[in-house]
Amino acid sequence: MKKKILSLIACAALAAGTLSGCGFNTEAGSYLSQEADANTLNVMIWDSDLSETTVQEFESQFNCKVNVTYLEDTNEMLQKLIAGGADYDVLDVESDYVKAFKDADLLAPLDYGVITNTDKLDPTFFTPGKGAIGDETFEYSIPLAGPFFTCVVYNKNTCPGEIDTLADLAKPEFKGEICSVKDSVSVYIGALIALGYPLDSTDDGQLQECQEMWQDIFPNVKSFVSSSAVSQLETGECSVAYCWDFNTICADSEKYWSEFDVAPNTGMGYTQDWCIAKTSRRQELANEFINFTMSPEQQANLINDFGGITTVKKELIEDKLPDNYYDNPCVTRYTEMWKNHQEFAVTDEQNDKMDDLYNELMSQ
Amino acid sequence: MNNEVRENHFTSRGWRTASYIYLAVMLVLLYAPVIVMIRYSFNDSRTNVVWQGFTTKYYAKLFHDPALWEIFFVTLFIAVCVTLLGTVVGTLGAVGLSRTRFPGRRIIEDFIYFPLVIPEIVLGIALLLLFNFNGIRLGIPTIIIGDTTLVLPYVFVTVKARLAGMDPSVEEASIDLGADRMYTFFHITMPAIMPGVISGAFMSFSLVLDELILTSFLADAATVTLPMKIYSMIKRGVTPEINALTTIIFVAITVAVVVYLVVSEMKDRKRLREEERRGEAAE
Repeated sequence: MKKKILSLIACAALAAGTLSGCGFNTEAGSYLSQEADANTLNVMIWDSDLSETTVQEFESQFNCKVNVTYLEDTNEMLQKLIAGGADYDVLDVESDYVKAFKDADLLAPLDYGVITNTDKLDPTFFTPGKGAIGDETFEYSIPLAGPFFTCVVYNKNTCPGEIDTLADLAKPEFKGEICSVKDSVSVYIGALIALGYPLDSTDDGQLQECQEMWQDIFPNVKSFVSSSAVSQLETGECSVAYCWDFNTICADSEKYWSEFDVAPNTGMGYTQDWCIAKTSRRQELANEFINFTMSPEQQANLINDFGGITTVKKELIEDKLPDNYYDNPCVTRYTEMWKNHQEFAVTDEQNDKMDDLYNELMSQ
Repeated sequence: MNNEVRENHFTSRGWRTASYIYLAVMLVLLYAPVIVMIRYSFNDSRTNVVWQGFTTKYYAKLFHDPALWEIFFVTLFIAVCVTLLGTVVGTLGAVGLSRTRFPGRRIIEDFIYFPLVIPEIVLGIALLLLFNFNGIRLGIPTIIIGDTTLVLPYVFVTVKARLAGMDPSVEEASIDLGADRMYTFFHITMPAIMPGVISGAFMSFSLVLDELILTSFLADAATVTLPMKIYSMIKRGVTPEINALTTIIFVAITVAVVVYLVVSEMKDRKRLREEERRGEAAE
C-alpha cells in the first residue's frame, strides 16, 4: 500500500513538472528574452567563407567567443530568422538575396564608423552605388570576398564544341557531356542571360522561352547535381558543367589551371555578403568582426585556406598571398567578368515561377 | 536417408566455395567504401575527388584544428548522453511493459513505435514547435531530448525481443526464494537481457553519431555537430581532413568492438572452464 502511494506521488510530481513547462509565449523570438552573452558572437556562414585562423585571432583580440554555424541553404537562413527563434549576429548572405532579407526587415544597418577597412578594398568590388540590388549603397551588406559565378566550365582538352552562350549546350555534339546544377534560380537566370532578357523577368513568355531552351539542352545533360560538379569535371565524366565550381577546381590544383576554362558570356555573378541580423544584441561586436575580416591579413588567411578572389587592393595584399596567385585563371577571369556582370535579386514571384518550370523540366 | 543426401549436397565443396565467394562479395560491399575513405584521407587534394598524391598534411591539419575537434566532441557528448538516456528509458520501458498488465498497455506499446515510422523531418518540426510553444531554448538539451525520442523504439524493440526469449519462471523462482523485485531485476533479469541492452545501446550510439535532420531543427546558433559540418561542406567539397577524422573514429570504434569481443570471449571461456571443473568435481 505504501509503495503504491509513493508511486502515485512520484507520477503526480513528474506530471506536474511536465505541465509546468507548458504555456504560451507569443512573443516573437522568445529565446531572445534571455540575457544575451555580450562576449559571444554567433555567425552563420557558408562553408569555406571564413578562415578558422580569422576566428581564433578575432577571439583573441576582442576577448570573445565566436560560434560558427554552417549553412546548407539560404532559404534555411531566411526561415530561421523569420521564425524568430534564432540568435544570430553576423550573416553570410548571397547578394541576390540581400533585397529579400532587407524587405523582410531582417537586417540592421552596418556601422561604417567601425567598418573602416573599406578604404583597403578594390573599387572593382566595392563602389557605393553599385552594390546588390536593393542595397546599392552597401548600407546593409558588404562583400566578404570577391565574386562567384555560376557559369559554363569546360575542359579545354575534351570539350567537343565552341561555347559562346548557354544555348550552345543544346548542340548535338554535347550529348552526354554536360553536368548541370539543380538550382532553379541558377538554371533560369542563366537562360535569361543567354536570351538577353532582364534578369528580374517574371514575364511568362520570356520564362517559357527559357524553358524551351533548357528543354533543348536537357537531352545532352548527363547528370544534374544538387551541390557540386567538381567530381564530374575532375574525373572526366563530363567535359562541360554549368556550375559554380571553377573557383574550387582552380583552388584544388594548379594543374587544372591549364585544363579548365569558363565561357564568360554564360556567367551569373554574385558575391557573398556580410550582413548583421536586426535582432542581434551584439551589433557593435558584429561590426568589429566584419571590419576585422576586411583587413588584408584576414583576407589573405581566407584566400590561402580556401582560394577565391580577394576584394582587397592588390598592392596591400599580394605579399601575403602565394607568388602565383594572380596567375590563377579564376582570379583573372572572374575579375574581368565582374566588370560586365548584371546584378539580380531573387523575388518570391520569380522564384515560384522558376520552381514550377523546373519541376516541369525535371519531370520530362 | 533423404536428409543425409540433402546434408551432403549442401556441405559439398561447390556449395562451400559459393558461400565463401558470397561472403567475400558481401564483405567487399560493406567495407570497400571504408577503405576508400581511409585511402583518400591521405589524398593531396582539397576537393578530394581525384587521387593527386600521398600526403599526411590533412592529419596534421586535423590535429591543429580545434574547431573541428570541438564539433566532434559536441557530437560525441550528445551521442553518449542520448545512448545512456535512451538505453535506460528503453530498457525500463521494455521490462515494465513486458512484465505488467494494465488497461492501455498495448496502445502504449504501439505508440512507442511511432518515431520509427514518422519521417524525421516531421518529428523535427513537431519538436521544434513543441519547444517554441513552451519557450524552451534550443541547444544541446533539446537535441538530446529529440534524439532520445528517435532511438527509444530501437532500444525498446531489441530489449523486448530479448525478454520474449527469457523464461519468466526464473524471475518467479527468484521472488519465491525471497528476493525482492529490485534484486531480481539487477541480478536475474538484467544479466539475461544484457546482450539486447548492449546491442540497443550500440545501435542508438551509431544512429545519433550521424543524425542530421533532427539536429538541424533543434540546434541553436552555438551548436554544430559533425554531420551538420560535413553536410555544409558538400557545396564546396569535403576535404580530406574530414576523411582523416572519420578514419580515426572508425579505428577507435573498431578497437573498442574488438576489445569487447575479446573480453567477452575470455569471460565465456572462463565460465565454460569453471562449469567443466564443477562437473568433474560433482562426478
